[in-house]
Amino acid sequence: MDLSEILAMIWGSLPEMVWLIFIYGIVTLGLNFILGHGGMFHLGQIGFFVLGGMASTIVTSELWVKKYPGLTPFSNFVLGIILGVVISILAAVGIGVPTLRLRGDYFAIATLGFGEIVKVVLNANDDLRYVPVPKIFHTGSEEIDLDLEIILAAGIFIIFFIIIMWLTRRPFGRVLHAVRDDELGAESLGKNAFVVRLKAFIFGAAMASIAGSLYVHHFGVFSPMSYMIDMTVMFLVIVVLGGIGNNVGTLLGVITVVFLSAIPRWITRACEIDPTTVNIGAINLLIFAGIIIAVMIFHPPGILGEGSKLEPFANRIKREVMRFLLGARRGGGHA
Amino acid sequence: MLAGVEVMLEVRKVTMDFGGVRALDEASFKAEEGVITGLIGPNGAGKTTMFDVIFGFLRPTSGEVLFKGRRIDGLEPHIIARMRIGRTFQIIRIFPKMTVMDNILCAAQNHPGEGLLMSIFPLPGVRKREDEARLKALELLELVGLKEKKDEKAGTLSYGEQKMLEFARALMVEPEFIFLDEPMAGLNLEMKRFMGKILLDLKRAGRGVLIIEHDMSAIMSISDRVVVLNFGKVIATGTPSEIQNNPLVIEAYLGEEQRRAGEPDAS
Repeated sequence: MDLSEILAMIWGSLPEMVWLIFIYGIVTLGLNFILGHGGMFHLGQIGFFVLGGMASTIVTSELWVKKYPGLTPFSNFVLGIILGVVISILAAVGIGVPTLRLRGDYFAIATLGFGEIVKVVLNANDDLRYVPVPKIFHTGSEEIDLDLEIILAAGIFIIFFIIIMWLTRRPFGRVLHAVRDDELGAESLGKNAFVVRLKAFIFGAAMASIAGSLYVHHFGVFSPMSYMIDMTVMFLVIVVLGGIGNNVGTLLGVITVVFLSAIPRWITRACEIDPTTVNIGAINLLIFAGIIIAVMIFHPPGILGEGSKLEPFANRIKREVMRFLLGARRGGGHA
Repeated sequence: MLAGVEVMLEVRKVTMDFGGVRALDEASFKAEEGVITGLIGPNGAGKTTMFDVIFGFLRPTSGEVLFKGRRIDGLEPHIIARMRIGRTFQIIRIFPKMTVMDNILCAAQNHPGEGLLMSIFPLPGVRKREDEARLKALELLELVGLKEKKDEKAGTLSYGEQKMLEFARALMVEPEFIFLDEPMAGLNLEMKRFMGKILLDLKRAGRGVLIIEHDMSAIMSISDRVVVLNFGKVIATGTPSEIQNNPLVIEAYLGEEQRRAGEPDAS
């Protein structure tokens, strides 16, 4: 490959990466809400991501469409998202109620187990292994309408980004932060720490489920075991790299990680190595490990986390943006 | 006993065992509204354990705690707090990463905006309630002299200021009864005098106050009634002057020195 071909190859892979940034962005924004703002060490975000995919697969599958022919593909698509959210909420309540009253480690173990078990259970079901999912974003031919997918994913991401911003700045976030920083202190002020945590957990889980629904429609196939442990690690790396508890940081983390994990693929393609001889997943894991170690050694707060060197700079930008968006209406605002 | 005042808090024969250690041993006492009750005792007498039992952080092994005639032992702390009971802690429990203002706003009661959906789509009443809470919080911050520092992170305040912040936060609950665990410890003289003044104001407003304090001169001058704990038992109750002359109390506080002083004679 000469240089122009390589550049063309990289350029061609960009749209899908942008789409992936929004999908992972929704998942990790939810994870950051649970982990960073809620202080719950949640390791099973992938479980809800898979559940969302499963629900969308069922509702848009041929069997379902035959059974309920009156529904349009679009309404099935929406129904899949809603069903995924409902299932995820039930699952989050199921995990949260017994473990959120206990010490944090129990919650971490329970969620990690949940994420892995969901995949195994769904994989054991023959009807759900490698199920073809209608590519509703098809433009008639074989080509996927990626632009439409990107717009949809970006729209949902932006909506959630705004909602998460509200949630973390408004009274709910205040109480959530109080519970995170000092549970007994918050309890002594009449706040039910358990309920506040459970609400935040459910909300973050539902976000992962919605992203999971969008995700399966892109690949057109649902195979539970293809969601590897790499993904759990990746979600965690994104939040840690961006800075735990910072929403903008999470977005920067997603962008960085998606680009970094595209590099091995670019190199194998550019050097014309047979892709079947390279384990890209393993290389990505190495990259994630490298990121985590580098962050921990050189700058533990991550890009924009509490105590980051970039914080004053970011605050200035934030003030300017706020001033631009709100005018002088509510002056300053509260961090 | 003071006549014509209502008993707010009643502790009946509360026993608290930690494994083989009996921290509270059938301790009973009462605290009335409009009265400052002091809870004193030597180190390890069970004072803080008593607070934790009353406030629901610990479930007593046996015995009852009543607030306005209703049993509250075994209830969760947030339910007890919602009965308009405020407390501060011996080891300060503010939220260090949050601003001073947010620390106090957290204590607002019946705030509809604290619901998850209400924070996404606030109904008209929410903003009004939030503004009210802010006004109230500013008032309290002014009272404890922290108004200028309202936007600073609470963790950056000095020890004394953090203590005052925690106190203001407990007042934000609009407590009918307030528990203070060593409110004077670590405060300078001016702040102590100031704290004493606020406590007297609370008393005049008809609130109940229960204080644990090591500063004897402070507690004797401010309390109307004093309850003395020793080895988990209530050994005396009465007015400060009665307590000061009670031989059991003197024995509990000075016993060790007397015994030590007596040793040469015995040998």
